[in-house]
Amino acid sequence: MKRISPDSPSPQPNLKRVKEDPETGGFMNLDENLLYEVLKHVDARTLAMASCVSKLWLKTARDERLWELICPRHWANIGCGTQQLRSVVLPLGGFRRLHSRYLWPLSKPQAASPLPWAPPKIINDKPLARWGKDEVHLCLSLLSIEYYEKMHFTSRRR
Amino acid sequence: MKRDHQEISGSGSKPAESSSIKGKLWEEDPDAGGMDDELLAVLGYKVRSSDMADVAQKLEMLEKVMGTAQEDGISQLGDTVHFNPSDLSGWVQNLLIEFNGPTTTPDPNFNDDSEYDLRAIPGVAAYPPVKSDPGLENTRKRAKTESSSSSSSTTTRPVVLIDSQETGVRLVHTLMACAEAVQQDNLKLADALVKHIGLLASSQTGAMRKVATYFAEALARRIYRIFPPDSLDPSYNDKLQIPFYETCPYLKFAHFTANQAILEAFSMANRVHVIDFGLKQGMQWPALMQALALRPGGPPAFRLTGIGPPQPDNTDELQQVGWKLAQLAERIGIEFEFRGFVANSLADLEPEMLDIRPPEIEVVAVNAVFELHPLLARPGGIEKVVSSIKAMKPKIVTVVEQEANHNGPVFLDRFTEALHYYSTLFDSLEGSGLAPSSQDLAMSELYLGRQICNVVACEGMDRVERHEPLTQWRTRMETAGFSPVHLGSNAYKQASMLLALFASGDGYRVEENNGCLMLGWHTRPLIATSAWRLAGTESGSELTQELS
Repeated sequence: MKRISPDSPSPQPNLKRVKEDPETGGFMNLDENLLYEVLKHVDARTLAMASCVSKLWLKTARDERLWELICPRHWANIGCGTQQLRSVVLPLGGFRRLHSRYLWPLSKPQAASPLPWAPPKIINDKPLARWGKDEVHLCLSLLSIEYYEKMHFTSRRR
Repeated sequence: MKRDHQEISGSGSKPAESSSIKGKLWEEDPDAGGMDDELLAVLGYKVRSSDMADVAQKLEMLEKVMGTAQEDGISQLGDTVHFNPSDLSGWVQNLLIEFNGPTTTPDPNFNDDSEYDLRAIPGVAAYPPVKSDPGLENTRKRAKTESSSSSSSTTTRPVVLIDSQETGVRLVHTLMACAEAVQQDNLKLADALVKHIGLLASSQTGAMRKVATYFAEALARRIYRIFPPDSLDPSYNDKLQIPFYETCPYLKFAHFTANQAILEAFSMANRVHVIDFGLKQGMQWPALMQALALRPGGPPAFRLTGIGPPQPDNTDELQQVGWKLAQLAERIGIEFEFRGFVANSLADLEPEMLDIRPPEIEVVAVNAVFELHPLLARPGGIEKVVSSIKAMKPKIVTVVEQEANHNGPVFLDRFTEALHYYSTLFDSLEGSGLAPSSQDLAMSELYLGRQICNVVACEGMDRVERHEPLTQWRTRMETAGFSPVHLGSNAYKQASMLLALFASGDGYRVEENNGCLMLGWHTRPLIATSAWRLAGTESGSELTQELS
């Protein structure tokens, strides 16, 4: 099953660009598409770490579609369809940004503060099992504000 | 007010000149009105002509006091370092304090400003045997020839400052005493006290210092009747709200909680219309638009009417904001319509201007974040606006106001309330974890400082910061024919999460109060969000918790 990404011409040149490391062997030489297939199954933390491996891995791990799979994996039904969600999140900055800037920090335990509403507990630094509707909506709102601020205030600096 | 210790009346220039209006926080503004004495200016000393008598008198006293000290040390000193020549009178008074104090060691609290710390002056010349400066000698002679004969003296007695905490308490007492003097129209005493406040404030650090400085300036303005020139320029205020939005969660809280109420009111509608009484930068609306876009079943058509003050440079700020929001709407696929209205006051607005469509076609929400209290400055203002709101037939009205009573009839009460309120606010800013030199922080403080100035120094129609607590707003809205709409648990949860994400200080507290939400710092609520509908109409989707 081949997936054509617009930037890469064909699998062959990709393989040539990747450095061959005799120690790690063939895994580093993974075809971009195959890498994508593999990364579809990892969790957020692994996906983020994957982007640190090499340029190819960086490019693949940043694919919005992967993050689009990761985000809703852990949240309750927020009431809107996938397409609807995509049509809002992508223009406002994308799923990866949504996750790294808002969903992930919100799921981490807050150090000392006794909040009126306690954030869900984290065991062993793993990501939150489930985000509720309110968390997700808050994060989406913050994403939209960030987008607006960038758009609005950048243009004002003449 | 009786005192056991004695005090020096400090220079009036320090509180009046410091910071706020020009936006510089700790530097004295040499051009802050009044003519500088030219002869001294040539030497590099900036002393206002109006202060000359004061300065001269103090220099005379200094001479008297120094005369009793050893004299041989002075003439040998050819060149010295004179720190901060512009604050001549403040420096002199510091010397006087140090001379007149009994055998206490020089107050370590004055280390705050190097200009006061004479130990910084190299060599034994300045400290300890004789604390003087020959530069002062030259000035002194000049000043004597130029000044008028010694003016009627305000009683001058040296002060002894013992430690910072006690100074802090004394500072608050002095502020209160000064306000009381103003209340009793005892302007001479008030004048003496306000000068003293500046001195005490300099021994403090952090929030206390800033608050005291702003209050001292406001008091000084009230006493000398120098009103801030741009107090009537609301567009400047709007711009200052941006850094305030960034540095602390109050505005974010306001927007999120109001949006939640609006969303719930809009839940079934196909066309919605929000009337924002203070559009400013439109920061509240991207989040609402995003939430509408993700509504199950798709977004409604969204219409926004933004109201704002006239801009001094005639730019159409409203249209620019509207344009940006339109771009955002297009990106996320919402049908969007915008209209902007420029108005000096909300009371000038007529509902017919707004082209409200009938309720069968569109659902209307009215949003007023910190926009209602200025109307209390004009008789009939708030009544007119409330009746306009009713004529718009909104499904929901969201109101956010400061939770404080700064509109009582007695000045002293207002002053006391404001002192507590803004001290708490500044404390929370300090706990925000931002670098003290951050520009955003400075601008936020300026934003609050202007409010302080307005509450304390202005009267009548100029005094627009007429904050009233939630209980009073409730009464007002209910009398006018509105019923409260309870903000749901979604709003509470979102607010709490917002604080978890944004407020690095953990002193913030969200409280629910009879269906309204309040955000405060520790035990003190500071702002309150409430929602209203026309009495006798259905409340809509309070019960349909579809977002939970």
